[in-house]
Amino acid sequence: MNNKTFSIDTGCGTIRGVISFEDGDAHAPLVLITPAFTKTARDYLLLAMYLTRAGFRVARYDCRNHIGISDGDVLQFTLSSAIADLLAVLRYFAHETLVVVSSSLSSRVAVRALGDFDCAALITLIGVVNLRDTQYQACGEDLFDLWQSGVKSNPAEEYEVMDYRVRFAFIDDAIRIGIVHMEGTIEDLSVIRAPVYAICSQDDPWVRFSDIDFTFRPRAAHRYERGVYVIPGANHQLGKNPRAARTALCKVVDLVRQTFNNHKTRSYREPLITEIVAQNKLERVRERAAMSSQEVAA
Amino acid sequence: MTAFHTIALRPVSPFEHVVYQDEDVFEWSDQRRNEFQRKYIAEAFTWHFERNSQYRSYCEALGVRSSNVSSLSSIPLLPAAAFKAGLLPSAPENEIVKPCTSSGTRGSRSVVPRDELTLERLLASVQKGCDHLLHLRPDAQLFVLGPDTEEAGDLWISYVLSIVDLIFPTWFAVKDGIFLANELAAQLQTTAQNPVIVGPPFLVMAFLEHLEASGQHLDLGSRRGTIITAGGWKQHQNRSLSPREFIQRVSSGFSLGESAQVRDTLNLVELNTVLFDCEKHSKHIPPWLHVRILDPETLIDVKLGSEGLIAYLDATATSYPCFFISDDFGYLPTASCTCGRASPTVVITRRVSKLEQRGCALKMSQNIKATAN
Repeated sequence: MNNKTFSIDTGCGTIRGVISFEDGDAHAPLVLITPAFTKTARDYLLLAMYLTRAGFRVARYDCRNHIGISDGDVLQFTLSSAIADLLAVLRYFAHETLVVVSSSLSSRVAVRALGDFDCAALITLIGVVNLRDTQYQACGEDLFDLWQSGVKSNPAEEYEVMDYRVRFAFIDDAIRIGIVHMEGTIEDLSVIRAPVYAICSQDDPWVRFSDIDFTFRPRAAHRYERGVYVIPGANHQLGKNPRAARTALCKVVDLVRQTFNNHKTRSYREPLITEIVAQNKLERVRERAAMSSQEVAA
Repeated sequence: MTAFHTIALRPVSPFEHVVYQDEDVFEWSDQRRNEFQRKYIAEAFTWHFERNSQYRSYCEALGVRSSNVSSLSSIPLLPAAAFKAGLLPSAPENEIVKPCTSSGTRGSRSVVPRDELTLERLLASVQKGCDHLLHLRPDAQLFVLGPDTEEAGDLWISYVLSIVDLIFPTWFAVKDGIFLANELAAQLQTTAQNPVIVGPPFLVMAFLEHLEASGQHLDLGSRRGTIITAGGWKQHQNRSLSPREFIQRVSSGFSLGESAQVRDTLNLVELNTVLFDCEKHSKHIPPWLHVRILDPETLIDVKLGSEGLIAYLDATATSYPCFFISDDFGYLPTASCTCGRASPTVVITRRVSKLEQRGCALKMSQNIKATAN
């Protein structure tokens, strides 16, 4: 797999990413993968391997104000920051017609951002549609309620989610931009001018299947195809279930192929764990090189 | 109106759910665990009996002529030496992605064929241990006192640790056969939080002694550091410390605040599960693994709590029959672990001696001859 790094100076920090492709595919259609909370570009290596083997180029990036090699600290993470990052990356690739694949919280980011930017299709993987409910399941308490009721009022106050410290500024920001409730997701989905597909887990306590089903149900405003693909018995941590993950990844490839139906793709062999380990090692080298050059620059 | 559809994809099987997704695998009741093992270890036995001609011949020589077994204790156990004699694959050659070898510290090496699914399930046992027993944070950084798999080849422990790099960033402190103690110390000094040192106990001690001799001190306690031992003392038995002595020495040497920051692991190349210490230094057994303790002379199960030869029946391996008698003595404690988890634990007490190995082999040979007669 060939890897070509890219960086985008947003004026408020640099977004760093990588474009991957197999030999001969330097001009193949592009798939953009957005990172979920606590995930970096490297966490999507397996998805990238599936797509590149099928004949596509894949762009992955690390969010600013997050873990990874882009600028900023995860303590400053907000959804506005993540939306701005995705829009910056979309503008960077504005000359391409691309498919966006987004997972978990980054799906909510994509659903908002793609109201302002066209794409060929959006594929969400265990995508959050009801932020308030997901946050409650992840943290064990309703932080939105604590903020709106005034129990918490200091945006600099920290809390822990998924072993990372973030600030209440995240909660405040999500409320201000109207991205907390399912109704907002339905509204944002209605203005996306592209097919949207949701791949989800049936037994995901963080993203209820019933919420996905309700959100994606046809409404009069929908003009583009919507599809829901559910993995019975799977939960939110698809990355920890390689069998379920492969099911999801194969479906992503199918949907990308369906979208780019004019592009001649090829049959592919699913990557072996030995190949994934070897490629992961190269990704670690890439990450370390990026961090070293940032330290030198600093 | 827009086109819309909801389509079900391939479901997660109940076995997959337990191995990959179940957050409570170390909290199961005895009844639930026993039912699970009766079903899935029996299914695994059927799988290997039907696909592995060598294993089937072995079973038939022991009088087991059908894949229907009345109990788990009826499943024929291979001697560990069987894996030294050559591959025992239950999968076609083109599905074997990794022949895994032992270190061969006692002479010959074992070679175990693993396919993709078997490797995935092994990694799942590592993930389970890291998540539910070690509670390693997602930003942990591993420092391995050993070479990576490129240098170590098919050496099993190096391969497992190379795979762990998928979960945590991993730095290997042995390059071209040289232990880079000073560079390791420098790396650890700059790691802000959650450093994890992984290695055989003799190398952990060697590193600590090197630091002390060179006037260096690493305070890992304040940075939530963890020491994980793997692989045992091997040929350094003359320098070995008891587990309690080792924990005290290492805790003091690295300024670890709690003994819970020192953990041991157990994995054999023949076993497809890695066992991890809990906070109370007990190795918890996940539900897909059945452990028997056998009288070394009769190969019959001993009373619970008594010492004997440790045998494993692991349902996760698909490319080889993971039903074997190990070269270790140990016992299953009768009391529940004081950590509060419900899962059974196993204690390894010592390696089998060469004399005992010969005795075991003789007994197994007699069993086969008795059946033939």
